[in-house]
Amino acid sequence: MVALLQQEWHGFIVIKMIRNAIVAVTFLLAALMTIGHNSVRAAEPGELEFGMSAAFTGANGELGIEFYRGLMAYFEYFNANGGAGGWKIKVIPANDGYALNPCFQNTHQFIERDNVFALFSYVGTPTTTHILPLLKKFENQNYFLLFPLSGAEPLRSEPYGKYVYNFRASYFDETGGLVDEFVKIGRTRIAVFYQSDAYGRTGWDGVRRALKRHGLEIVSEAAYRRGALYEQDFSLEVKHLMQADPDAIIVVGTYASQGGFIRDFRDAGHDLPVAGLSFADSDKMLEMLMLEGRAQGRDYTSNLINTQVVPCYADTSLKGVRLYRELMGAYTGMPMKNGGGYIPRRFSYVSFEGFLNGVMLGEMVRRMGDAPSRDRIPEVLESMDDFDLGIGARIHFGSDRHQGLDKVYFTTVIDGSFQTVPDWDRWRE
Amino acid sequence: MKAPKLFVKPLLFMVVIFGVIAVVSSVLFGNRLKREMVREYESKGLALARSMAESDIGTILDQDAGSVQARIDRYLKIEAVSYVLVADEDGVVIAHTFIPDVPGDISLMVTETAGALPQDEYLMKDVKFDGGLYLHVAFPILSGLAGYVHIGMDTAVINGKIREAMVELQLVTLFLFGASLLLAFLFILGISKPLNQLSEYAGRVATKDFSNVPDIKSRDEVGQLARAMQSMAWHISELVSNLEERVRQKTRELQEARDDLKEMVVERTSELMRANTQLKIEIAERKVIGDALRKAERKYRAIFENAIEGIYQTSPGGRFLSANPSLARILGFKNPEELMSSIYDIGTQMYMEPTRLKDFQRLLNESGEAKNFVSKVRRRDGRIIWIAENARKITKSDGSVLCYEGSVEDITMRKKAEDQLKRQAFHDPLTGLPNRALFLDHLRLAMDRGRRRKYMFAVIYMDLDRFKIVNDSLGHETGDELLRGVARVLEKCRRSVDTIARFGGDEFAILLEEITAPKDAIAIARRILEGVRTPFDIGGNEVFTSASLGIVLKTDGYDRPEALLRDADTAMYRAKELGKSRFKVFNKKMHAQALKLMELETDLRHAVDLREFEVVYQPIVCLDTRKVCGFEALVRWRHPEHGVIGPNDFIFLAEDTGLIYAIDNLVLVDACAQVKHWQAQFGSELGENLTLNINISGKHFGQSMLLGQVSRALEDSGLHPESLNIEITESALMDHPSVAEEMLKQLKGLGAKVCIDDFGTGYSSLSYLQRFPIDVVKVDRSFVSAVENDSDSQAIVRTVFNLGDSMGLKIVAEGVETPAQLAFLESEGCRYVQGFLFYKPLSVTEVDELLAGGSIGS
Repeated sequence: MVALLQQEWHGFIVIKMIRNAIVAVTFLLAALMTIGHNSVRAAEPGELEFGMSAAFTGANGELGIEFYRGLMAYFEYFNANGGAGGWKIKVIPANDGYALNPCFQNTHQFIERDNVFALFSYVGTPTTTHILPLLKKFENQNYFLLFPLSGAEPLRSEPYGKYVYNFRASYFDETGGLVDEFVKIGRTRIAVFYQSDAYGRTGWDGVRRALKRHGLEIVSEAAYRRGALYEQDFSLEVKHLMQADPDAIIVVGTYASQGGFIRDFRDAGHDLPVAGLSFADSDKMLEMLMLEGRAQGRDYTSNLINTQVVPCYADTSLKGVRLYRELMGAYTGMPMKNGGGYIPRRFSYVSFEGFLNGVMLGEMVRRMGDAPSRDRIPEVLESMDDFDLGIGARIHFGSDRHQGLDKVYFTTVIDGSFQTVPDWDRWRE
Repeated sequence: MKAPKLFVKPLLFMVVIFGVIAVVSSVLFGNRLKREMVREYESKGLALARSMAESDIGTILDQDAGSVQARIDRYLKIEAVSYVLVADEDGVVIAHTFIPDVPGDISLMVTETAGALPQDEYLMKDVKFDGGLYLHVAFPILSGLAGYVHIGMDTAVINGKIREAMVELQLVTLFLFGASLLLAFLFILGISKPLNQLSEYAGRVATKDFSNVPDIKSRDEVGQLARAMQSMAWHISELVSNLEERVRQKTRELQEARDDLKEMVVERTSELMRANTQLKIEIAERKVIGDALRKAERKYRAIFENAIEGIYQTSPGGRFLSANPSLARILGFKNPEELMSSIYDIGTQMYMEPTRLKDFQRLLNESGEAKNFVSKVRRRDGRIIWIAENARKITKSDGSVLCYEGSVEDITMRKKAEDQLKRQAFHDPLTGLPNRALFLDHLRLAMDRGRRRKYMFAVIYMDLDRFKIVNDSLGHETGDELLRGVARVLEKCRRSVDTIARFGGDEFAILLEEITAPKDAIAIARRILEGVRTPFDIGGNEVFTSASLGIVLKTDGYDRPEALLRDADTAMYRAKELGKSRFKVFNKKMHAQALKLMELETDLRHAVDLREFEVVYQPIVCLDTRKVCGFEALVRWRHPEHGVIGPNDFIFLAEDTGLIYAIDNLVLVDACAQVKHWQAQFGSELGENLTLNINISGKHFGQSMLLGQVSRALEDSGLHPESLNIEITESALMDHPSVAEEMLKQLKGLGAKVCIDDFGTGYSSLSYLQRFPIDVVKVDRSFVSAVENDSDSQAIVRTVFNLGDSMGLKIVAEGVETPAQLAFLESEGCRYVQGFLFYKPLSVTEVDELLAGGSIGS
């Protein structure tokens, strides 16, 4: 059975390889250039390479691009300022298109071919959870996955949680927060619209668990297939959910599916609050809904709630935000030569998260600047307890704590952008 | 290749058998396959469920939905796995792969299963939802303490597999079936081929064709059959051929006998038929011929009886054998019977000439026919008539003459008319004398005779002197009467053999035949002269006349009678020149002169063509100023051999030959252009008023073309018409006064002036000076030259000047040669003169010099 799966992967890889020919060539060149460095890494400072597999194309492509730009904005700054003890940071981006097998292959190549220092800032739950066994496989080489863009539980629990260091709050944290807030304002009949995979299931599970704490259950649920585009018709799903007469909807999806769902939900005449998670790249989703709103002549942006795992990037009272805005505003790089028609957003929650990931990684490298090695990663990261990133909340890592932040920020659309929810009472039932 | 019939039954059999096999095998195989596949899928589903339930107990115990989901997602990739669901021990779903939600049936089953399944047992049942049939396997995790795994296998996949296998099986079966068919076909073909050959052979034997015995060598039953058939066929063949040979022989004999008989019968029959037909045709022909003969007889009889012409048959002896009523009528008999009984010898009784019949018969015997044979015959009443006969000879088969037959036409009237015509054609109606044509005929005959033998004859040409005057003064009737009288005189003078002819006008010719010596002719000529001199009494008046005669005595050496007549005419003219009323015999000298004239005529024609003429100008001097005021253009012929010839020597010839028109015109054109040139060249003093006098022949003057020529010459040269004087002689005017008057008017119409030349020489009255629009009068040189001595001439000249003065005419004196003449003329008021005293005719260059030098005047 495993052999059968392997075969299919191979077939898939071939196609993907061709599709990403340019990227592959780039990788190859980069790898050749870095082989020498790896062998003398311990001797004198140089570049530390980090493999980043993320979706830069497809239905979730902009998420990966935003994320990458955020962290690269910092690394540019970091490297320009001499790095840490002479060590500079290089990120090798690899596109997986939010698909499992390419992600697996990317990872495999990072380890076997590139000998990267660590895996860093992966994007997406199903892809990231899929490569976890590889970390166990190469356990003796001390490969760790640092700060992936996912709040999924498998990254935080046995059997693979020990190979992963998360920066952001989990989906359980985000869904639990949402459920708590809805229950507080009397919205107890909660329906879930989720992606039919590990990400969606985790979110769904988070909602289920949170409701259970309040002695409640999910009143209705509907799944959609991963990879759904914004253009897809979700009116059947809307109908299915509304049969149970919910008073709030939690969506565990991507910006494309969540945007499409909200469009059809509102088009069906429902104005219930719809809440989404940080992974949905609320900025991108809002842009889509506003475009749609302009085209249709109606407002799709009211009664939307989205959780974020970083504070609002408009809050310039925070030191971290100020640095982010300064560096991000000046950054122009892209993970791929051709952005696929994507026009970079000046600021976003996702790039801010990426930026903070970069700051975290920079701090990590700095702390092992004398002699960076993979086996020192847990020691160094776990030393970062109560670390201040300048975003209000502090980072807490520990020997049994592989997640830096627990804080969940609730945002809603104010003046055309997602900003911190000022008052939940407006949605009180 | 055509399938043998033997093959059909086995084919049907095989199709049925194979069909049954196919159905049975499909059913059996299908069922078995299905059982096995179902079993396999069941065990697969169970194995999957078991593997899942046992491999991942940890995450399930943790109720880590995300991890569970990640795992079950992978199972979906396994073939035929349709859905996976994991529930906890209470039947609460932890994760599932349904989209969007778990179907009700499954949800119910999941709930029911929880706790219901005994330890380590599994549930396996078929489930239907959303239109599909699924094999649902539920397997407990940790004996149901941790939950349950539910897996759905899509049975549609099983059925698809079975279908594929079935199709494959049936294709193989079909292929085998086809291959077997082919083999069977080939096998049966091996049997049926020799059988077919044998049956074909048997068929041929039935039609007695024993050739091409099929060669079948097999040792089996077919081979035996073939050999038996061969020997049988051989026996039959022998028997049949013997029998046939005998029958054929007998048949042939019979056939021959029959054919002979038949042929004879046919021959006889056809002979009879032919004879019969021939007879019929002959009968019909004879009938037709008889009818036709009768019809023709009737037709020709009618023609014969009613013909206007006389039709006859005569015997060679000169008797009428048959005659039609017309012939009787022509010859003055009542009917043909009377005619035939009255005339028994045509030769003497009918023809006037005794030899006529003989001539007639000779002609017929020689040429077989006579056409338009004209004879004089006597009628019964004695009257003579002319008849024309067309006849032919009818001969017997031996060539001897049977009879003559022909038609007769009374042409007496025609004959008379012809004689009349002939007479009119060859005689002068006025005098009854032969005319010129007849005379020439006789002359030709005489010349022929003269050439054949020594035969002397003479020709006299005679012209009355002054007959015109008689005619004009006494009238035409008197003239005619005079001519008749002269004719009678001539007839009196001649001998019977002579021919006298009138040529028209007052011209006569006499052919004297059979003269012995020239003096005979002279004697006759004298008699004629005397006879003509004798006064004629015409209407009570005595009219005198005389004649001039030209005689040609030497008549041999002439080819043409015209030439002879011309010489006689020449001699006659010479006689007139010598003083009239006399005869002149043509001699060698006259002949030479005549020849010379002819030569001159030829040269003149060439001269016109080659423009051998030149114009000289004799100045006319105005006595008031003693200056040249004009010129008279005079023509000169520059003959290549004879040098310059003056107009007096050739103009008469030009007039006779008609060349005068061209010559006059030539002078007119040249002179007009030249004078215009002088007018222009020598300015107002001299040139402008220069006049030009042109002589126009009297003959030319009568021609209407003159007007056109004058006007064209004026137009081309640009000469002012007032400058041009057309000079004509008095006689030219008087010959045809009415024509002349018209012409003068028209010339005046052009603007030209008219000048009378040689004034005073003619016979005419002076009244024409009044009648015609005349501008200038030239006093003839004969008067001028005589003024010195002759008082008559002085009187005439004086009178002319007086006349001109009173009539407003310009008078020019020509031929002034001496100062005395000039003095007289001047004293008489003469203003214009021309003559050698002043200038002789000058060439163009001389005039140029004269005008240029201004040396004008004497």
